[in-house]
Amino acid sequence: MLEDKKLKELLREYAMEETSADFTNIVMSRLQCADLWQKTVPLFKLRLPQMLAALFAAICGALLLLSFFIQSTQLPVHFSVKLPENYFSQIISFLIVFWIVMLVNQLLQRKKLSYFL
Amino acid sequence: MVTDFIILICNLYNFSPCLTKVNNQADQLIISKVLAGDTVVYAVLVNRYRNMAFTLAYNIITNREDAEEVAQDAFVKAFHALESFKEQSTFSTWFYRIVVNAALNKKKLKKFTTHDVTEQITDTEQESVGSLLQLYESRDQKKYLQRAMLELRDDERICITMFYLNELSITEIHELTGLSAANIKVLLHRGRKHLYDKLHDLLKTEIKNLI
Repeated sequence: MLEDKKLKELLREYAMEETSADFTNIVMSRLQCADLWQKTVPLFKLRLPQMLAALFAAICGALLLLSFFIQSTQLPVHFSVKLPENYFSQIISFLIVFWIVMLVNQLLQRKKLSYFL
Repeated sequence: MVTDFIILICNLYNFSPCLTKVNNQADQLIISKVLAGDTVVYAVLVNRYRNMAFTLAYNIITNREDAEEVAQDAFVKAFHALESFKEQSTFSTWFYRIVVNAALNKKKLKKFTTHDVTEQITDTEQESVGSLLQLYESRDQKKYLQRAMLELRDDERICITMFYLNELSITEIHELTGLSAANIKVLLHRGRKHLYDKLHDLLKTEIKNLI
């Protein structure tokens, strides 16, 4: 028991590590930063992007519905330029390749992030 | 002011049970002030526990920079979670849990491993670490003791740190680590024995080098 007390005294005297001198200041400044961040009013509300996305989807849906009821001949705009057919196949293959490359890129980036974290 | 005076008296007469009680009351007072909006007072708590939090984190991670970062993160987390702190446990135990979890996460350790508890624990086996070091100057004592501590097994070093440096009871260490009381006692016993052996080896090598 006495030996245990001696060991405790010895360890508390010599095995206690000390932080850097500005430790408390760093912690307090981090707390202040976090506090300021919480108090900061965002320039736009977080819901705004969601509202814009919903609006975009609604317009797309409305246009899609209208396309069923309005015939192309009723439209005031007429395209007289004839495009070669291979243009369409090229556009479609570009879109497919673009999305495949983007998805692969996203997957690779996620793997990289999880490796570093 | 009164609390500071009582702490001073307790420190002078080395009356630790009284000191612990007064410290706990002082912690409660600071916490209530912080919760009331006086966040600057939190610096007092940081000053009081910074070395112990850092020592605990350092003995888990064994890297000074990472341990300091973990200790700072723990203080920030504790500040934000202060409202959830219940007075059922002391602030120190509650806070050390945050430090231990953060340090274990940093070290990517999920939990402590359990040990064979069949080992006999006898008081007669205890060797005196103090007697080994008494021939050396204080600076050298610190150097050798720190080196010997770092050479201990992780779980032994962590239990020794929690028990002797952070002054946690076996029950509190059990709450923090999930190890059974018997396991903790075995780890403390082995830790003390290994600390003596490591110090003995270190000093023997040092004397040989001098000769």
